Amino acid sequence: MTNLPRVLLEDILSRVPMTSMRAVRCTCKKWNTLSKNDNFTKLQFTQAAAGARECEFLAIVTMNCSLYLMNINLHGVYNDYDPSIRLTGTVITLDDSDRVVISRICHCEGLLLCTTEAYTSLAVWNPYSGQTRWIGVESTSVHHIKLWYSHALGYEKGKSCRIHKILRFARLDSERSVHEIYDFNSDSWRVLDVTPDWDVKYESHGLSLKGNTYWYATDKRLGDRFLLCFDFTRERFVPRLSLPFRSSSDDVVTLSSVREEQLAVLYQNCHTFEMVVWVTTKIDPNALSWSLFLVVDMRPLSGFRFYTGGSFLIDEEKTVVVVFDEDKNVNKPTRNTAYIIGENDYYREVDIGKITTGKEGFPHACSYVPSSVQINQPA
Amino acid sequence: MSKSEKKIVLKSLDNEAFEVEKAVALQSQTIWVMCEDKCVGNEIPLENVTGQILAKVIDYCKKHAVVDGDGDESSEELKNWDTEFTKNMDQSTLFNMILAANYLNIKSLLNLTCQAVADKTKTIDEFHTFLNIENNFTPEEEAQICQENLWAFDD
Repeated sequence: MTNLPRVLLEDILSRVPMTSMRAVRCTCKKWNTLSKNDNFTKLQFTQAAAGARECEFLAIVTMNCSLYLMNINLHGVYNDYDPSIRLTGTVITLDDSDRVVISRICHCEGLLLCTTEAYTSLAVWNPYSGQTRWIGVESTSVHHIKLWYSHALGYEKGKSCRIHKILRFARLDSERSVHEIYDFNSDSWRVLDVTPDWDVKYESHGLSLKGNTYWYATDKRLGDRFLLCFDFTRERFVPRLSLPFRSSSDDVVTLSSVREEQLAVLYQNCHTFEMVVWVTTKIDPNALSWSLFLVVDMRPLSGFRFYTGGSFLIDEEKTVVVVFDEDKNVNKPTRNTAYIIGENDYYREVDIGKITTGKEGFPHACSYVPSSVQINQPA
Repeated sequence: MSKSEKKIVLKSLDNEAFEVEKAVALQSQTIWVMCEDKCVGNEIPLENVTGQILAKVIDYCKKHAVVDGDGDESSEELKNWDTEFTKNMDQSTLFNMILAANYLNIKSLLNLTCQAVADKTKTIDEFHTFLNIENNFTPEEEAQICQENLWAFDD
């Protein structure tokens, strides 16, 4: 064994990047056990938090039907040097099966729900612990095969632990829709009795926060736009929540989260291209209040409207947003691009790679904090 | 502290003596405590650190004593200096630096050197060779670990 004392060895291991954690676990029995130990993971998350203080954080990005881990460093914003977005990892499978073709992800506090193009099963994955669980997608609707399901991952706040659940829903036709819930403990899908008087567009991604999921939704009859929230504990949609602006159907509205504690919403006017970002100061399924975060006239900067199903990340300390989209050549984009936008017209474009797929092509990012949260296995 | 006490002598395990500014040496909590307790004179024996390593530790402390407090402006320069400082150190030097930083209780140097080892170690083979660790898994256990980590982010 090495001549370093155990406490120093643990210190070193806690600094190993996430992409090397599998190697750590495969090194020897002691480390495999150690890497699953609570104290060790706590130490590791302290290191990650130290990085966050230096305006460096992790994001998981879906691009070209694959998953990427990216390191975003905004330290240079407003300083003399440029911020950086560095690709640090790509998802791989270790059983030599086909490449994982991922169409969409939902992220909920360290767990990812991945849907594949073929829709044969859903994968739930903790990228930090390596744990995976495959979930059958058996139909409860006769229309199942032709449906475009939207998914959300959340959890019930149980007495002693979280019970993770998946909500999926789809429109059958203009009148009817299907809502189903999957409980990780019972390992089965159940139909929920929901008659929605709202629409959530397929491209509109839900955002999970503190176990519940939020969407930008439209009233079917009046066309009003509001925030829809599904409460995973009570398994029902809660009364509508209001947004801090009025929007029309062509405006861009996307959701994000801040430190997994607050909700953020980006609104871009389709005519003026003005972008306004709001962050909640209080949020629970029954009440929320908003605070204005950033207002930027995008016309002289990017000069185009972001994708409505897009995504963005927020850095509070720097008052910066990072929007993930395609390049400015909107008619024939070739590169995935991150737009870093801040106060006083701060604006940078960072190339994050070539667009290689047509379908589900837009890059989608979620801010990621490694977590040792366990995926419940069927009871 | 009077002017005559501004300098201090650090003596290594192999009896090499280094005269340094007190402000430089006091970045070490261990030395700070020794000076506070007045249990040592102007010469401090460091029984766990060789001259070769101590020289490097002093280089680090000098750099950080000068730059610290100069404001945010130079923090990037300092970071680059830190990167260069550990870049070409071999495994045994890095390990000895970690042990020295731990013994002398210089938190920032300990962070830096531990991070350097973590950054230099990526593959399973590197973990085995770099940290001198034997693989004690049976093939069955190895397959099991593989099963448990079916998906992974890889660089």
